[in-house]
Amino acid sequence: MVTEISLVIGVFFLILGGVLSIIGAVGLLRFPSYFVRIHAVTVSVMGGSVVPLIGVAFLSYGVHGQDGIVTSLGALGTAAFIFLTAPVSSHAIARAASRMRIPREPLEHDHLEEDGR
Amino acid sequence: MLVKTLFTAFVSFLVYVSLVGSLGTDELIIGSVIAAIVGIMTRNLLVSDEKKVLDPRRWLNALRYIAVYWFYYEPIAHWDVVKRVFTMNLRPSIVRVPYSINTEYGVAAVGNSITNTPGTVVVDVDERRGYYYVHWINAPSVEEEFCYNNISKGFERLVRRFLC
Amino acid sequence: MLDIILLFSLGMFITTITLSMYRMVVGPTIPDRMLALDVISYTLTVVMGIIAVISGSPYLIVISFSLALWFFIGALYVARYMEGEQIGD
Repeated sequence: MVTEISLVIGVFFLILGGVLSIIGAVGLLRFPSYFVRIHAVTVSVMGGSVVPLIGVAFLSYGVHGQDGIVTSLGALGTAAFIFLTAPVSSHAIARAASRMRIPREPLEHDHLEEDGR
Repeated sequence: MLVKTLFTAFVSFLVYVSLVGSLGTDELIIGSVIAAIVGIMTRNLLVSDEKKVLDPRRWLNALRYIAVYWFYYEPIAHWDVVKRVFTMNLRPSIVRVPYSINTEYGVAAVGNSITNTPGTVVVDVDERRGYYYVHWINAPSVEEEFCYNNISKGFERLVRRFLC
Repeated sequence: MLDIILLFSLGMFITTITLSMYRMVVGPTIPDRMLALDVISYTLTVVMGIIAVISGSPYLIVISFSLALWFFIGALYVARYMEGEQIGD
């Protein structure tokens, strides 16, 4: 019984993550400039990698039972690690890009420019 | 001092086990030796106050933060940006958001929460005056009060209970 | 039935990798290419997880953890390089 419930939850998270991942990639292609594309990438990393990794953790327990529990723990650890480190790398590259004077063009107000940083 | 060492050793042991990926006897022995060495060497970098680590209410508040963050803030922000991918309805601005947290862990946690929700990205931090510079994909107004209420108020209230 | 679902989701993630490959080749600046590489790396960890479920052995999930770690360090290094500093300053 537990394995069936775990299987259903895993499949649901996996499909949801796949849809969000494709939408994020489409946004990466359509958005006009670098600073807007970051938001599409956040959809694709948070919704498209962390959620399906949690789904993989449920799914591995659901398919293989006791044998799949090492894969479950590894997938949960990878999900937690991505959740902790993805914003750090994203923020580092965004700060470097703002100091490199990458064009920020579709932009209405720019307080960073006003404060001279 | 003992609590600091044990906590650091436990965290590095978890990292070791998930990097090795098996639970055999040899790995457990080697892992605990390495974790003890790492814990003795780096105990002052990870933990600053021992009483805060041992407080169970802080851990419960951390769990509450994870639950509220994943089941309330993330779905709303994802749905908003997913709509904007198809309608291309963009009004981007870089706005100032003030913060009033005084620990480094707290500032980093609130900044990570803002960056992790789609639609807002922290571009730069002014630690002297206490501002995040946030790139917001749809900014109806650029006043500091409005931005604080709409972007980081909930995160600050959640984070303040377990990292300050 | 389960095999079909697993292969279908594998196809969705491979579509993501293909789409972002275009942005990585065309992207006008270096940060754009880093964004595409971000999506490709983290999606590759998910692909490795699905293959680990299909094959039933835990070896690939360890590699996916290492891949996430490796991309984190690589992104920090590229950010430092773009600001014109060396790591360790």
